[in-house]
Amino acid sequence: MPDIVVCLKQTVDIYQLKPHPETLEPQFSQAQSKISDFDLNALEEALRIREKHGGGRVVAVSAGPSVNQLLIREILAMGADEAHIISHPLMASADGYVTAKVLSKLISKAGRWDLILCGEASLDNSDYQTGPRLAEIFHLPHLAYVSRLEISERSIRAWKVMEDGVHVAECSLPAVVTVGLEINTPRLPSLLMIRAASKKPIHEYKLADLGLGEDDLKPYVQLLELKALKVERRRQKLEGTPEELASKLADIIVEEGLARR
Amino acid sequence: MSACSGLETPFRETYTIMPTGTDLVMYIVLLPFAALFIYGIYRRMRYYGLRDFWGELFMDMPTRLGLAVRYALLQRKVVSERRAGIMHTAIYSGAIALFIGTALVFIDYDILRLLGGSILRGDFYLVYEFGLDLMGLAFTAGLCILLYRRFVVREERLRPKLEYSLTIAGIIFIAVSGYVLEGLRHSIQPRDWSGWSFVGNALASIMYRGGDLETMVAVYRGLWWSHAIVAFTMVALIPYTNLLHIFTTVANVYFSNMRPTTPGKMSTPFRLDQLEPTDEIKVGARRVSELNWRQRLGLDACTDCGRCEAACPAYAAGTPLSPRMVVQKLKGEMWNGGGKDFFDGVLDEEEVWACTTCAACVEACPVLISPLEYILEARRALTLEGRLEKKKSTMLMNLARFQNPYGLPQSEKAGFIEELRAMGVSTISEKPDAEYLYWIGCASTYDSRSREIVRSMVRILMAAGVSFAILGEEESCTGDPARRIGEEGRFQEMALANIETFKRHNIRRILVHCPHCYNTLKNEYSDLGIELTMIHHSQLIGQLMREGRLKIRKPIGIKVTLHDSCYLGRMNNILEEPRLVLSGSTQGLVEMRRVGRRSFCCGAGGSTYWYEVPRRERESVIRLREAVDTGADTLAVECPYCLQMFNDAVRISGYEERIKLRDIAEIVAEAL
Repeated sequence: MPDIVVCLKQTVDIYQLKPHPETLEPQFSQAQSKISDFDLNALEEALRIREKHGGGRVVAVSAGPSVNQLLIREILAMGADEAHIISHPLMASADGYVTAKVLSKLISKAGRWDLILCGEASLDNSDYQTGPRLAEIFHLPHLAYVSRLEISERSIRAWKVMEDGVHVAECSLPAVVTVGLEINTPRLPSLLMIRAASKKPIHEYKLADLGLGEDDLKPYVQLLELKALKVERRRQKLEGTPEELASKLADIIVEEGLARR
Repeated sequence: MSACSGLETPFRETYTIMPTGTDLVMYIVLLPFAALFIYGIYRRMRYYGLRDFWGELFMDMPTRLGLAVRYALLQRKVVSERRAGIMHTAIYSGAIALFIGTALVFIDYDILRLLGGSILRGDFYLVYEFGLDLMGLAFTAGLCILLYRRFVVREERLRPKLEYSLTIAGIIFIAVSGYVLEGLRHSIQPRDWSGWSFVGNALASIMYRGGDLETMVAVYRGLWWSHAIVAFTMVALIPYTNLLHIFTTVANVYFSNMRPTTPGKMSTPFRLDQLEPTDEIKVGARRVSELNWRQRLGLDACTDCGRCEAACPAYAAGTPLSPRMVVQKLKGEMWNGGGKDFFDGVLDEEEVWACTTCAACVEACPVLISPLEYILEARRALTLEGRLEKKKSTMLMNLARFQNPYGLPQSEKAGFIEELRAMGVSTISEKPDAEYLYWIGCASTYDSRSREIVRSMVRILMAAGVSFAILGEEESCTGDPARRIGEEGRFQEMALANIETFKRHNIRRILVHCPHCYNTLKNEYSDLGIELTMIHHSQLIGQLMREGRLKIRKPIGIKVTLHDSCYLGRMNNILEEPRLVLSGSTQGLVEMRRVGRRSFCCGAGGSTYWYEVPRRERESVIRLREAVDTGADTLAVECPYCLQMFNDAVRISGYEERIKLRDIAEIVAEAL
């Protein structure tokens, strides 16, 4: 019965993001926040492992500029037993290095564990950093891009879909595993379960509680600019018989350098 | 004056051919059978929940007796189908008559005889003999139709099952042996009044009269005992076979008003606004033992007649669902103890999700079972645990985050509201004394084709000078898709928010063109603390036309057929108004094969619009073919979801040139 820590990030719902018509910068204020998709897969996997093995704790950890308790409640409603969170404004500029460092401190507050599960990347930044860095901090084996996971007494076996086949790997526990969207379909907690989850504990920390200072939140990488790509159609209309159209189209394709005659 | 001019008064001769003491032996033999019967009934009632049953039995008796008379005694729904109706009426009335006949013999011989009296004598006895022979014929004729349906034409919906064949064989044996016994009796003991038992007498004349008396007596005695034993066996088998329906259907009909009056109204298992924040509530059922006693009784009332299956659009479309099989599987599971998880080999999840909640099954059931009810309970249980695939959970997430199932941000509707304003429409804040609140609904707010309905409706309302307003930005989903998918909590959260909006603006009268909004606001919000007067646009248009406030300049030259939306017709009985409107605004209304309460769902109800179920065909395409078969050039609808479903169906089946799709409002607006 393994105890599992799941790392979850609250991100902006990028599908709701619309660029400003002039500056092309994303208008964050118009979009809602949600739990990063891959992280929900990680949580779902942890819950399934617990169901399959008939026990074990599932602990959620989350760090961000302002962690929304309501979203944490949804995580607990899905089935996590408890949550450890920290909110600090400087987390808005956190990179993988900072996030992994803060999460590792939260994890050390979470008690005993055998496995850390993370989404392979976050919905907003897509850096693919946090999981591997956590493994590094704890000196643990790391299995990435996992699309199927089997867990036994003291080891895990993971499947990763490659371009030309499937890669199967095994390692001992404890370990860090990052998962993708293919691994499962996360359950959706019903409103009644979300309400019932209000009984579950959410532990909130301050930086000092974790032995960290603001200096520790300085990222290695700084985001300089974020802009939407401007895509515009040329609204060119070709007319003529199918034969003429084909030849006109071929001309354009060659002109644009997309193909050679 | 005696009808019989002979010397003797006719009377019932009981046991006269049997050896002395037969009556006593028979009662001793009957005992174990009776014990089996009583034990079986007791056990069934234990399954339903005996205590609750007694508590409910004497409540609301006048209404319930009325239901029992209408649907059990008079078989009002059974006879709605011709062949099956004639069959069942014949068997049913024959069986009752023969039962009464046997009971009279018992009273005559075992009670009155001992007191020195008799009723089965004289003219009454002759009428009795004649009547029984006649009803016996009806019984036999019914059995012949049964055999014809089951074994000659093999009606598809009649499932072959050994149990059924055995009970049928037993009943046939009782009927045939009863007549043969009567024939033998008249052969052995011819009487002046034998002619009154016209069937028995005819049989006797075929048999060899005055022949070997000894053989005939021996055959009579043997047959008499086998007739008795088979009859006892059948009685003993009642609680263990389909024959139990004799009692369970009556009970189910009697208690049927414990369900909401329309299948459009789902039960409210809790009130979100009255829950303590930490209350843990279980909704739905995933075991027979989690159903209530009435629902368990309902399972046992199912006779496997298959009418629900024949009416079910999801079944016709080749999805895994058959409402009959849902009930039958749950019934079988109840007989096995009822403790097994539905989704552990009893039901299939897809079966439950395929249901469009159209309630055709409820309408079809002759004994007032609601297969829909079990399906919705199972959905609630699945949703409570969050066991939903992507499309379903996305829809629910959209409701939670955007207050509409499309998942479009509120900003998407700003443009449309602006357009309506330009047409002269006000919001309720600007026009608080408006007579009607026009509730637009998500489909017509976010779907461009459905917006046409609103534009037409606004033109109609303005032409008739009706005072109305819209909610504008304040309108959100009624919660219907959440409730139908089983997310009761989310439904109530949305409903309570809407109720607050209604109360804030003091709204009581709402005009709506979406039957799903109509149904939920009218039937379901009342459980959450608001009574709304709802009017469907077809009703209001009809009313305006009748009052002369809306003048149709010239009926438009189309031949139209109407698709009754389930949530308007079947659930809320709005059938006349749309037809009046169409007859008044077009040149001719033709009807499809399935109309009114027997209409066939477009396939979008019960939130099935929002996800996919494996299927052979689409309900909408099946229904569209029916519409095209009428020769109509226009299919009129009264629901934006029907409109969208048929829009796809027209394209899929390449009927673009054959038939046009219009909402009723669009047709009327054109005729103004």
